[in-house]
Amino acid sequence: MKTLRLLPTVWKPVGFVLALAGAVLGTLTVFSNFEIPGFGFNLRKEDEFLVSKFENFTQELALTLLLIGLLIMAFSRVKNEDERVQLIRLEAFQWSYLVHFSILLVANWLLYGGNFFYAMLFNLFTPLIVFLLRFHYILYRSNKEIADESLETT
Amino acid sequence: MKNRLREERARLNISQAELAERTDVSRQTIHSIENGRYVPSTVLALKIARVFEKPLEAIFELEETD
Repeated sequence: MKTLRLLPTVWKPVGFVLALAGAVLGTLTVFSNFEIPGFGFNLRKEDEFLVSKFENFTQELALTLLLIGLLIMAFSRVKNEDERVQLIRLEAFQWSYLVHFSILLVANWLLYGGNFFYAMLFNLFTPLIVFLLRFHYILYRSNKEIADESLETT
Repeated sequence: MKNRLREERARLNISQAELAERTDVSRQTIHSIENGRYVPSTVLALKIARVFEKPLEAIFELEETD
């Protein structure tokens, strides 16, 4: 059976490093207002309502690193990728969307103002993060069960 | 869906790993099929039948619940 188009397995650690760097930088940017000195330029002629003429791109860099890193991790092959693993992938995607929209639904009623904004910011990444956690957890559990059963039968 | 993979493997004296290699999937997948935990695609089922040189229905059988 034709399998999905995925990146080679070696890309997974690359994605992890990029995502980690993006997460650290993003946390520093959002919660400590950290900006890489000189990493920006005058984007507008003058200050406008809620936006200054000088734009620092630290936040954009963090988001790019995190998104690309997570995407690479999610879309790279695991060892022994085959149709059973792809079914696990599909189920993990289903889970990730359920969690993503459940958070949106709950946050819509329970959080307001800045809290809602932060929840939505975090929720941007839940499809990929929940997918990765669920996919690797099920894969691990399934492979462990199989290994245990193989030991019992030998 | 019931299957006779274990019996057929025993008949030909081939391991799960060998069957996995000949059908281009992992050993874990063959194990999951044997234990009824995973239903193979049509393509994989046909590949398995080809290894055992038997028609599909001789290896896989529908159950009442299917």
